[in-house]
Amino acid sequence: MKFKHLKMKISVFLLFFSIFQITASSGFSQVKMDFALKNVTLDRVLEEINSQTGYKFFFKEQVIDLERKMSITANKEYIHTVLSKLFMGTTVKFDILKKQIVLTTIITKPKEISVEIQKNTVKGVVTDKGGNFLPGVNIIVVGTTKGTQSDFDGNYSIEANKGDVLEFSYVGMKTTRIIVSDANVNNVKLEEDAASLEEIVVIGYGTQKKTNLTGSVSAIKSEDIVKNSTSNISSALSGRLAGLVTVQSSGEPGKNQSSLRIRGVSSINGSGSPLVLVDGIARSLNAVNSNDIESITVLKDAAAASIYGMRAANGVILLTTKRGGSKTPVVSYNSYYGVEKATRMPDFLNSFDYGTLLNEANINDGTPAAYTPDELQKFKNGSDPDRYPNTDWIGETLGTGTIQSHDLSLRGGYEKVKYFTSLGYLTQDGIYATSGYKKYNFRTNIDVEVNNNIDVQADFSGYYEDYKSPASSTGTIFSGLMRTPPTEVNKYSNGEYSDKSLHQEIYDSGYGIRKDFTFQSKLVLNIKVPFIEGLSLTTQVAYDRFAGRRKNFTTPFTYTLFDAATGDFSSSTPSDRGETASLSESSDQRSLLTVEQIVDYKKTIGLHEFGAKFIYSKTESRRDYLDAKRSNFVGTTVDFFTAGDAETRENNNFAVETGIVGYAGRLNYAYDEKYFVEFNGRYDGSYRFDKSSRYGFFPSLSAAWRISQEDFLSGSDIIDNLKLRLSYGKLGNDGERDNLPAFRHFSVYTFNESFIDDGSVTKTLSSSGIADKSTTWEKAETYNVGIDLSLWNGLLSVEADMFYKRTSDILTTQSLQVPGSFGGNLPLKNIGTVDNKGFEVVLGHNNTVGEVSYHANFNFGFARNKVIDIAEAADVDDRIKRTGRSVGASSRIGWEAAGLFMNQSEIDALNANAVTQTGDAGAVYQAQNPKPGDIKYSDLNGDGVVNSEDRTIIGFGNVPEINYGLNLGAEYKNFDFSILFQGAANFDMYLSNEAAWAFFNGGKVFGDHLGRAQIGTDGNVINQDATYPRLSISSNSVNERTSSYWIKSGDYVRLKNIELGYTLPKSLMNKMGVSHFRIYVNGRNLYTWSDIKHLDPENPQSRGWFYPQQKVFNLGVNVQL
Amino acid sequence: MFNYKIEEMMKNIKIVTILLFGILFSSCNDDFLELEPLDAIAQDKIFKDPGLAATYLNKVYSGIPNGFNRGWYMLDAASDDGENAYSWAGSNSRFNTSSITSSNSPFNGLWNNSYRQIRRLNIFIANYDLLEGDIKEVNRLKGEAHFLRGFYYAEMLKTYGGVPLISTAQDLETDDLLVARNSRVETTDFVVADLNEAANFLSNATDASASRASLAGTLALKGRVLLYEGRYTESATASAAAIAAADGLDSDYQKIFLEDGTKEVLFDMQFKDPDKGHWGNLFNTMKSTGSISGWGGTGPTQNLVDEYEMQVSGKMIDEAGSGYDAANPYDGRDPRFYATVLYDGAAWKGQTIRTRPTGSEHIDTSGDWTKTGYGLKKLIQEDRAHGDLSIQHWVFIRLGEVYLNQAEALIEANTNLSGAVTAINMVRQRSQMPDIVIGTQSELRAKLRHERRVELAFEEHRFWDIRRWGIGGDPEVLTIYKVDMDAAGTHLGKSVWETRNWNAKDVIFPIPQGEMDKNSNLTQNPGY
Repeated sequence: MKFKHLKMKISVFLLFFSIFQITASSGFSQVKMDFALKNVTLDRVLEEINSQTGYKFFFKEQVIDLERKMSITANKEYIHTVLSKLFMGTTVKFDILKKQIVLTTIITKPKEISVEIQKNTVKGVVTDKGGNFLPGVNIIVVGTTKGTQSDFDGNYSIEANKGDVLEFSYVGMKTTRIIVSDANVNNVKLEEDAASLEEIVVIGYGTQKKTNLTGSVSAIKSEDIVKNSTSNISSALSGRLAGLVTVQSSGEPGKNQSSLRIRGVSSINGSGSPLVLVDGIARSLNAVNSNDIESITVLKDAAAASIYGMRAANGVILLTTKRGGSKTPVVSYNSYYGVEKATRMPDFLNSFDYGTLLNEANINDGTPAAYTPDELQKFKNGSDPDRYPNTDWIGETLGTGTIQSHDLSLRGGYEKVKYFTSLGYLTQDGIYATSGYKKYNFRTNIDVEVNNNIDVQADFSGYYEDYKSPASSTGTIFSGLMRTPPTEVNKYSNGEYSDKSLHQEIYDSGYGIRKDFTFQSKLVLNIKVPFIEGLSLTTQVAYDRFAGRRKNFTTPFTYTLFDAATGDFSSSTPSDRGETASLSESSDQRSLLTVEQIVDYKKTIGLHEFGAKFIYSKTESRRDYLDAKRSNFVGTTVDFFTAGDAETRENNNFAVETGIVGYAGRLNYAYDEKYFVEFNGRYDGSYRFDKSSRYGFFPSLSAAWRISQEDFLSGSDIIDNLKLRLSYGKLGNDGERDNLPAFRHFSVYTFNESFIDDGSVTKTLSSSGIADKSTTWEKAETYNVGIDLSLWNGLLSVEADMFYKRTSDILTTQSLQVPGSFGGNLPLKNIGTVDNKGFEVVLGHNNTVGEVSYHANFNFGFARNKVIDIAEAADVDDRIKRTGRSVGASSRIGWEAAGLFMNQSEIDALNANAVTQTGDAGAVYQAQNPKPGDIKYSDLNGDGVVNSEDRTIIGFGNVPEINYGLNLGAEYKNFDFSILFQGAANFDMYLSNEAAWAFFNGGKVFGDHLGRAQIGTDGNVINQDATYPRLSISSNSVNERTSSYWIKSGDYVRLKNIELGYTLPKSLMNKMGVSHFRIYVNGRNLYTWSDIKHLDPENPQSRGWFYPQQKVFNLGVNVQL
Repeated sequence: MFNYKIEEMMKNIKIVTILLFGILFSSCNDDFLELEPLDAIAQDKIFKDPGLAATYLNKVYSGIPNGFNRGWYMLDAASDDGENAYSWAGSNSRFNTSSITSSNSPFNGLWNNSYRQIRRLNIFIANYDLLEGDIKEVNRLKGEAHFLRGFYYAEMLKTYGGVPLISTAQDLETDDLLVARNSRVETTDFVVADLNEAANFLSNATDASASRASLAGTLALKGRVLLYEGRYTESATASAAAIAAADGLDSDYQKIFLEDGTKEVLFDMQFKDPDKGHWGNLFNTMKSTGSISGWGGTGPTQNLVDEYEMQVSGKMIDEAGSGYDAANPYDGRDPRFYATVLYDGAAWKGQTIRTRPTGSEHIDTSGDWTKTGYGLKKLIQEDRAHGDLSIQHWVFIRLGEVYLNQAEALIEANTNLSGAVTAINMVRQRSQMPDIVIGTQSELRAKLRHERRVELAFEEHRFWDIRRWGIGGDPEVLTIYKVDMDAAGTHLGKSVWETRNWNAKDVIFPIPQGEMDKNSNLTQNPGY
């Protein structure tokens, strides 16, 4: 037993400066523990505490009675509580020093207690905010030496006069003071100290006390993720972390992950997505069942992320999963059931209004009205639904989806082995029955202590995903819903579906399935080198495998035709139309091997703490892909290639190998928990570059000063914690994450598209481009200044960071500079530069008023980027120059709308001016013959005419510059309540086609179009406040130009999550034999405030052809045995 | 509990420690970063193996812009022969409204594409002496490379005029990349030199299909380029040589465009299910309430319909004694009319076309309905669902054109008018049209221009002919007519559908603005 070796007969004083440096490994970050021991020795209890927390005991053997027998339970209790219970009624006193617990015998001072007898006795009970009794709370009368501790049931009793101040202190709780009043009973409720100095944060290759961090890090605990009851973790992070930008662009089951960006956009390439590491290995967030999460940390600045070097330029997200724990196995069951509905769908006009506006459009176009008043009436009264229908396409096509999740886990330990194992199941049905997603997760994390110096971890996990969808794409279905007017029939009166109906696309078009299995494994060997205290060696090997299969069977379907003249129905079958089924299938195999060796050294000399780490890391991957296709199937029953036409067979495959290597190091130094300096560096090599330019070195330097530890502040009643952080670092990016082409240092030829020679199929061969051995890493340099502040015992906490990031040597195309007559596929060059600046603020507030304890957390992030250089031609017009603009905005070039033309005389005057200014008799202000009610564009260059030279960069980009979240929570007795608002601002959406234009492509109209410019008999606009141009049924190219008219601010605030929970009282739970039982209701995306009314503001697609984001109502339960 | 003795344990730890450091240092070898693409071939292998070399050239053939792939319209919709039913084919409307600028020209893509292919050819030509194998096989590949380079430069020549002549693959670091334009004459000479070289090689080479260069195709292209450039005598000679090298005309006019491998086709681009297709059928099929419904696409104009002579008399419909019946205008016309145009009453895909008002393919000013009252039949596969990828080939050069090129060159040279008459009649006889007779140079010029229009409709000739003949601004070219009918199908004559714009600059197209910006040595064409 580990701690027995430490039962050394040395004095407590010496121990304080002990050379035994105890390392805390990541699994021991919890300082709460669970166990139930009956009739065991003290020795056994200490062992249990040690195994759960990593705390070591130091004591003189003759003083402590290790054979004392007892029964004791701990239920998520702090070590302090447990120790108090343990030594209640004995003379043993304990002191917790870092991770060491020193046991001594209390030297009783009988004099102090016996002498003063006449005083007033104050009594009461000390509890936590949940009403649990707190034993062992230290209570002193301020200004005296009088003190006591609360007993096993939280009772205390102390002599004090009226007006004396009692101070209650307890580890992990805020120190609380009360003034003694006349009342003899003073019950005290202590609050958890949110800014607990002991909070441990997962960082790159290790953990760190939050107070000792020098970099910029945001962390979220597992409870907050589980709270979201969402099918994916990426969306659960939305609004929770400062500096994290989330955009959820689809609500489709299994495809509703949010794209994540840390501190916005910093490069012109690719997704800007951060590196995600699950238990230290590059894996998808999706790989983890949200109930398995222990913590998520976001490393934002270079100091925090640089240990990951080349893959860290876009920031790093670290996710750790739960590991084993107490000897008493804990079984948890978590489940929820929810119903889902689109957050927002367009408000389309009914067929009467549609017809009325269509007639108006016809009149505007000078063509005969489409419908007579009589016909319009029939649309309204529904008397002839086959000829004059009023179809609510969305209502008739979409329904509600459901989501269900079950998760069972077992967590425990025995002797030297600890285990965590879980099974998860999630099933989500779409808003139409043929779409759905199922996910099965398993995980087993095992920790074995081989001996005092060797630990082994073995983790196995995997997940199977099963997607189903109609063969018709989501785009086809939603474009149909967005486009087909209400005057078309969905279902005829004979019960059959029309050719316009989407019913067949959804139910009869065949199926698409996708079945992906991912297996992940990791083995860790951890050796503490004996005789060199503080030195440990770790080897970890992870091997992940992915096997994906997709199958798409497209079948033609029958629909009904209606002859309006005769009133006859007929069906149109696939064979009538000569349509047949087709099948495509693909297989995707991937493997990823990561090998890492870590040397770690720690040493403390007096108040000086040193740490050093060296890491060797290599990752290799391979992907093998194969697909095949056949069409002209015989019938639709056999969905295998044998039923297809061999002449139509197509097949293809490819394979890709990658490899990266990194040598990383970290040196840190701390003095007296006041001053911290850290250096991180990584020397990285990537297969993507030529030998000569393959390696890059990415260092960072950071420092922190805990001002609150200085003497002048340490006694402050206001400031609990004040820390200043500074960092600078450089990170690299090899382009892998941006999907840039690899192997640019070779000029090789690959087979390309088919070429038909004399009727037979051959191939083409083309070069990968001109070889360039000089291209190398994209670099991102980041400066960060941060401040952490905690006031009034944690009543208010502030965390603020400011950053400046310059990304340079961005790989971009030279074709902007090289004449086309060169004719080559130009290699990418390291030429671009982008700046990104911003700040984040997190404000926290915790308090207890009466029996209600509540907390509020507000986080706000702002990041604005600017293109500094993209090798733009010198004479590009300023208005369309990308340099100096933001990355996202600069690709949107169009005209600036200046409202609508209101009357012909306005147009005539501008045309006359155009003639005068240009001296060209044929000149007009704006081409395409605009009429009153059409959009007027600004003549930005003032030459009298609007042409392509007046175009400019319009609006913001698609990625919000501002992201914020407000999280409020309260607990009262057994109820808990939380609410999360999440918002984003400074981004735009360009809405066009179906999503914006009336009658687009024969399509429908929105409620928004009622605000159209109405044209009077004189041809001028009647309603000066028109919000939409004059209607026209043919596409009106005057109005449909890319212009600011169609740009809508995407700013929104969402009621992202709201949850009300009730925990059954202990007495009831005990009867049921469970230790914890909570039920809750939860709502997600319930309400959204935004300028864009008819589509979800996170809509990715300017035409509205997307599966909408979902609002969800859940009912759930958390049970623990 | 563990029963390790301390010494034993320490020994084990030492062993593990040594092993671990061993692994650490041995794994510092970074050979695994030396990866190569798994499915690629090095250049030196390609130029040894004729099979791979042919595959290399396939890429260059594939890059030739074909008429079905111009952005959802046929180039002839930018001539008085055609009108697109929908207005959103932006580049088509830019032609017809004369609103092309150096930034929005539909031919802006041609520049980079051509030079990209020319670079490939320059690399090929520089290395083709490495080829090993049968001399006739090697000659064929060498000939193909020169043919292709000539072809691309010829495309640029007719589009932009003279262009920078790049004959070796430039080096990014050492060569001056800011090359100025060569003159029109220099460019023409360069093309002719390449085609001569190609002809040399191809005259002693293995035979190949029409989708690769042939001797006849090379000579035909040479005749065309010289005709366009006004070098009539040389042109006539080249066309005559092409005719001699070719296999003669096909008897079935319509089949030439729908089937691969007809003998008349000298150079084409082929398609096949499911490997390579285009959308020609889909976007050109008429919009209909019946089963044929497509996107509308390019339909013939009344202007073109009126060009078809009466078959029996061989006279234009407005000529005295032609036999034309205005009440039944579609009776008795040149057989090529029935092969080219869908009109009210035509049979198509098992139904009868009705373009009259209220008809299933009715004429309409809005939507995707035909604007002129006609639909395209030539080049469109009747037996294929319009929603399927189309697989009919695109014909770049065919013998029918070569005869007319020869005739035009002879007329313009004014040296052998009877030779021109013979050539024109070769083409007419195939379509059972009466012969024309000899006349003056200008009479024959009119006959020839008429014949080209009818014979080569929708094959992307009229667009360029209008320009080189200088008739782009003529009112009859700019005024587009449609047919007038009542709901019963009674013909009421024709009326103006659209009047198009034309400016002098439109005879040629601008150098792309992006190129002007990058290369200060380029000069822009007048008017842009």
